[in-house]
Amino acid sequence: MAELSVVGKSVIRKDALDKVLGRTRYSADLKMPGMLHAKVLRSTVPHARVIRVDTARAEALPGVHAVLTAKDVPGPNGHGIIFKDEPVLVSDKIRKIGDPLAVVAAETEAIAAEAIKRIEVEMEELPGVFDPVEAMQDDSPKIHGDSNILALRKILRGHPDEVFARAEIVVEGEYQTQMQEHSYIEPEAGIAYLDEDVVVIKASTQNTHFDCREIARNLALPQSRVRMVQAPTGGGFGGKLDVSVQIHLGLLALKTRRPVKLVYTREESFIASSKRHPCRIRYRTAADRNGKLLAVDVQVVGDTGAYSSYGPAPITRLAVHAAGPYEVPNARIYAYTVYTNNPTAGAMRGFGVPQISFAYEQQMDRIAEKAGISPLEVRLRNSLRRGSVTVTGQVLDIEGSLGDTLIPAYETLLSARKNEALPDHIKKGVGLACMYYGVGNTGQPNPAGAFLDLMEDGSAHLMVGAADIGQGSNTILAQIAAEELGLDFQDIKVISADTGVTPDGGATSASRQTYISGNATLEAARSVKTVLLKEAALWQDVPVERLLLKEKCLYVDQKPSGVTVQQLVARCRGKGVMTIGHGWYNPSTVPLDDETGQGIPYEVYSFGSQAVEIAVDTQTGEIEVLRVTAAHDVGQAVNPLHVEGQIEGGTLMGIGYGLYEEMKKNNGSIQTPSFATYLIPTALDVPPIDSIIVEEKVDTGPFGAKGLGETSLVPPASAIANALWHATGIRLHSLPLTPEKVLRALESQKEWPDGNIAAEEDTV
Amino acid sequence: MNAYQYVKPPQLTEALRLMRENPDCHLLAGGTDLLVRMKLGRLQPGLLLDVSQLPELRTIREEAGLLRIGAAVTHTEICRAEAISRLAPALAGAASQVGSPQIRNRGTIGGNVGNASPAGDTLPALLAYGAVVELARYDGRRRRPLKEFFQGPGRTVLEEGELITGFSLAIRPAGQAAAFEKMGKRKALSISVVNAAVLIEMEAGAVVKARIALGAVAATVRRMTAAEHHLKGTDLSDGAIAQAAQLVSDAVNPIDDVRSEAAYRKQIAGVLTRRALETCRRQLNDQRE
Repeated sequence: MAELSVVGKSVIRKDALDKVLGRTRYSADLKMPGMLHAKVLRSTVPHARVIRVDTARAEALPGVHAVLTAKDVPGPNGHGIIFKDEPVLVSDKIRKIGDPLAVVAAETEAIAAEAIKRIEVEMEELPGVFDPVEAMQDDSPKIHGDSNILALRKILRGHPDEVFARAEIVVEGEYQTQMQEHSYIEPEAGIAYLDEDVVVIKASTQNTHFDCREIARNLALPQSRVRMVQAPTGGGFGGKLDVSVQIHLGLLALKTRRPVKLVYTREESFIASSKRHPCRIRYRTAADRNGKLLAVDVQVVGDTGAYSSYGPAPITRLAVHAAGPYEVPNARIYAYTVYTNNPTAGAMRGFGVPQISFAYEQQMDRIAEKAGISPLEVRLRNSLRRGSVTVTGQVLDIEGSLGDTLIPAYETLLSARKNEALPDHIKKGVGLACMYYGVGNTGQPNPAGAFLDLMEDGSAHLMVGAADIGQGSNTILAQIAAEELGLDFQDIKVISADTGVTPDGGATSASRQTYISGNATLEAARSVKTVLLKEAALWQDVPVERLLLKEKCLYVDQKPSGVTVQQLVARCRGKGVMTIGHGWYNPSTVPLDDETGQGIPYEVYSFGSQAVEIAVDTQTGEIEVLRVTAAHDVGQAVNPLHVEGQIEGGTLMGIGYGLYEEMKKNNGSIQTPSFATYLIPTALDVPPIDSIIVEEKVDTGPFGAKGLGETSLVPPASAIANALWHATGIRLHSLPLTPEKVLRALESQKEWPDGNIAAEEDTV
Repeated sequence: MNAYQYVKPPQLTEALRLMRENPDCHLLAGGTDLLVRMKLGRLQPGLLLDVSQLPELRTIREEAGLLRIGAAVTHTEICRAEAISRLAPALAGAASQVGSPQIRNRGTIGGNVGNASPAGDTLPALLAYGAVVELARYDGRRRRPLKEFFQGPGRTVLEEGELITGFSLAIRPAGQAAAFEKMGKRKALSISVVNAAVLIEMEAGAVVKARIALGAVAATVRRMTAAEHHLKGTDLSDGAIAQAAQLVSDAVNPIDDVRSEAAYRKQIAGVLTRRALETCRRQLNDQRE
């Protein structure tokens, strides 16, 4: 491949300076003349039948312009990414704390808040169900319809029962993971107004085109009369894939014909938004005496809460990745997505894989122990590689193997280890964890589009649906377009995530925008380049094959010709030839079979490995992460600085998942609704993180790039759990790895020094 | 948030008069606890009385064998004051572990004590130093030992119209050591799961004074009298320390809450006590050398 000029360079992102200087105007900063303020009345009980919502006293309050309830939703009163099971405003049944019952628009926020207090709700409380396994029973209270089992994803391959019956090593474990909050810095917010006959909504979101479809359906308007624009978004991590303020704002703007703003409080954001699925996992692994994996048998119950949201999709991705980045010829994987009256679980960075990684990576260490080999060796021995068949029957066409990330991660950690005298109560340990991650939606079409308009002065508009939520897609896509057209990064102005202007880019999720919107952008740029080079070939009388665009110039036979891109555009336009292009890309996949789960869920996979060193205080049970070395294969690093940012951020979020974070609940009520009680790592809790960028290019990616937005969040919790075992000999089976749990396990280890401390025992 | 009035009186007498005339007033110094309660709707002041710049409340000084710290001195100032590092280092240590730099810049020691959280970090340190609280009201002043000041979570002996003007601590004699220990769930912005402060005075190789104060293990910060008695007369050996730590662990009566578990807190109370006592022993050995 020719040498790259823009791709592979750490150009400084265009939004950086404004954000650092506090000049970026997020939704909550927006103001319009005549703007009203909205508030939502939310349920404080988890399960109830609504008899009556009386808004008369709220409507009578001076300054109140609208009080809307279910009867005011013109279209179908349901929304949701996969199933439309979540009411815009509850009409008959409350299914969780935080369900919206009414929305108010008023002159001030204080009046809106007062109006909310004056709404009277008559209801009959119903018994709730808060445990997903109980929810699966026939006699449990039902959330929707007559079963709480929303989905079952099965993956069946080979003959696992026969293999387990004769395997030399069998390891069995039960694992439990917690509910995690996204903790984006910006709570949900937006503003809506009428622009002639179009309802315009600007809000913090990860997917404008989905939002537009939902709003249009609920408001009973054509999609062309709803313009959904992404406001600068302060993080999403999956939590802003669901609709939050958008439909309510649309309803209120239509009703009042005035601009309306709605900003969630942090507590409201915690209560109303979706979370990471808590999972119960039973995991059995069979291996031969050398530690070569033979089979897995996995059962997972994921608590999806009151509404489906993305629900079944993360649990499906969990199932597909249940064997980890390892060759496993026989598999039985059952993954249930179950409704309860808990807060909704939906998409969160990692999309089910961090949960199952906590199980499969501890299983790997336990296999290594039984086979008498090292944790490093067991992973290298079982790595997926070219020609390997995954549990869904996909034959991999990949470069390299896990060793390409695992060995640098491990060696970097070892070389950084300090050999120092420690007090008796401090124990150090090293742990490893590996992962792979399919880029894009699982076995589903998920295209993205791009428009490109190269203008007379040689600068261009690139219009993409991809929402830049802080991860940097506007920068990455500009780099890709600039590279292809031989322009500077600064020549490309990106307009993104605006349904009035840009094509659909699909969701900013599934680590897909660099790969899918990147490919769409590349195609749009290529089609413009084709126009330019065709004209250049005529002009210079040189075959197209000998031409290329570089440094804003036409090159002939690798040498500058003296003709600029600007001159080429002018020549095209002078002849009435437009220098515009569009592109779209849809990764080729084969849907998973309903019964066997066999199929081709993803076109490409990103691989990664992390090694951690921890220190455990055996008197207090505290774990301190001393260092993380994180090696991630990203195909081509389009912007290495962004890659490092993603690796560091994801790793830190993974450490939070491993050690600190837990959305505690009691009968559907969140017990930790603030950052005073829901703890995420602070700056002082960040260990040194070495980002190691590995580039195994894929032919199908833009300049060889793959996705990386989620990958680094997957291994940390698992690696820390393995390091805990290495340091102390205790194995914890539930997240987070709190000092209380560590100390309890250490105490039982003291009581039974020869015994196995885990409740669930290895069976052979 | 409802409307309220804000007044910043220049002198203490003026502040006390306003307190007398406005029973619905709330004192504002750093606001780090007050504003949280206002935001949650748990408190609606009619008048906010800003005492953060009252001269008498802003001073740190040594006088007549006492170290006097004004109530409106911030945690950051406590960490940086030379007199406090020299005379009450465990208090500086405790103040350095409150919240985050922003909170330490705003929050004051008087506010930390007046808030009377069982988990407040400066409280055990002040108790270990045997602090006396100085109180003022329009009709007079009084002094109370800090150990008699707290009545429950958020409840103190403060009367209507009365404010904390400061704290006085006996100046550190030779042969004294003190230490503060905290267990939190992360390295900053962390409300203590348990905290502990210890003060030891030794003469001729024997403990003559021992004060041990624990936080977040009962409704108020508490002195641990059984362990204190046990230590008196000992040479602060490993055995004596272990026994004292056990007595503390046995004496505390913590609860399960969203931050931790009672059984864990009980155990950690002993661990922190032991670590603080070991630190004191180390300091005393260093002093002798």
